[in-house]
Amino acid sequence: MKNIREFIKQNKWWWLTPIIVLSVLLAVLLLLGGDAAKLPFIYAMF
Amino acid sequence: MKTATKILLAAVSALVMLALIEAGLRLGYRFYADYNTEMWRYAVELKRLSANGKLGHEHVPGRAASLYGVDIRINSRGIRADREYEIPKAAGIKRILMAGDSLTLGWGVRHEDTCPRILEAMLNEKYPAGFEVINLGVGNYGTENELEAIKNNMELQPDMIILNFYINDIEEIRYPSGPAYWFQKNFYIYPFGYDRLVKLKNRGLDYREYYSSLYKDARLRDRFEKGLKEIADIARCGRIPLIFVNIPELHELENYPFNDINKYIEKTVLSLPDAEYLDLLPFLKKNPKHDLWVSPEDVHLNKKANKLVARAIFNRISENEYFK
Repeated sequence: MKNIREFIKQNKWWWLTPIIVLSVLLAVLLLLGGDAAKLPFIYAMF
Repeated sequence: MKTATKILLAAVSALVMLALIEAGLRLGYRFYADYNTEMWRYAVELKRLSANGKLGHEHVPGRAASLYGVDIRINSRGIRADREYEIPKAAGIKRILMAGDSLTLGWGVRHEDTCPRILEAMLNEKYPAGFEVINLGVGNYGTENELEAIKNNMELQPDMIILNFYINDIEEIRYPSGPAYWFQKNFYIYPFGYDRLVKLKNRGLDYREYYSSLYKDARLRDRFEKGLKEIADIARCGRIPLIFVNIPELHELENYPFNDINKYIEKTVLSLPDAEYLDLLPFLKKNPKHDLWVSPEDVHLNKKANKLVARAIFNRISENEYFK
């Protein structure tokens, strides 16, 4: 366990980076969507 | 530490984060029925790709789901109905096939508030013969899909065909396949991401530009005209009347932005022998537009709008004395 903790601490940017990137992407998608009321019918699936 | 191990660490971290987002979306959508996600759920739970390539997609027989606050039940023929239809039909019964897309299906309204059900009730009140108005509406159908749906249901022995047209019925549908389809069907991340990316990409685009662009495509117009002609041929060969109903786009009714498209549609329909054309814009524009929408984010026909559409069709049927 101590070795695993050390491993994670020393390589933190390798596991933090995906979390930060996906969080920013999620925030952008949530905040910057357009006005649904003006869009045509465009569906995610048939 | 080896680079491969670091990359593996990053990949595991990304997967865990995506799993958390997926879990969050699934939990969140239990409490908030977002229109676009509910449309995706409709495709996932009630529709499937059809073995008939020309039909494209169809309802899964026997399925039911609660979508956007409304129960939708599909019978054994893939029709939104709370009953089955006999073949051959009972003596004296008059049948009307009503083909269309999600507006005809009655997206966002209860079964009894859909246009086919209301029209059926009106006809049964006026005429001694029993009427059955059969709802062939399937979400995202266009004219070519509706042609196949009509062909597949001619064994129901219709006495009339009503084709409900909406402005995007000329559109071409791209069907998914393979691993991409598996992902699209099984993860909430897909409709969430798709919906947001479409909105982000189209921040400057609105429905007027998009729909107008469809009619500038000669290939799409040609496919629509051929599909329509084939439907008219089916009706003529079966000696049954065909009514083409043009349902307006509901964003702006007073200063309707698609009058040129309407003229093209009317001209195309009236070029066909024996086809009847009914433009619903005059009937619906008297109402404030938001009075007709299912919700502020969804411009499908609500209960009131379905009733107005059914009334207009009923009046046309009565005036022309198709049935005595």
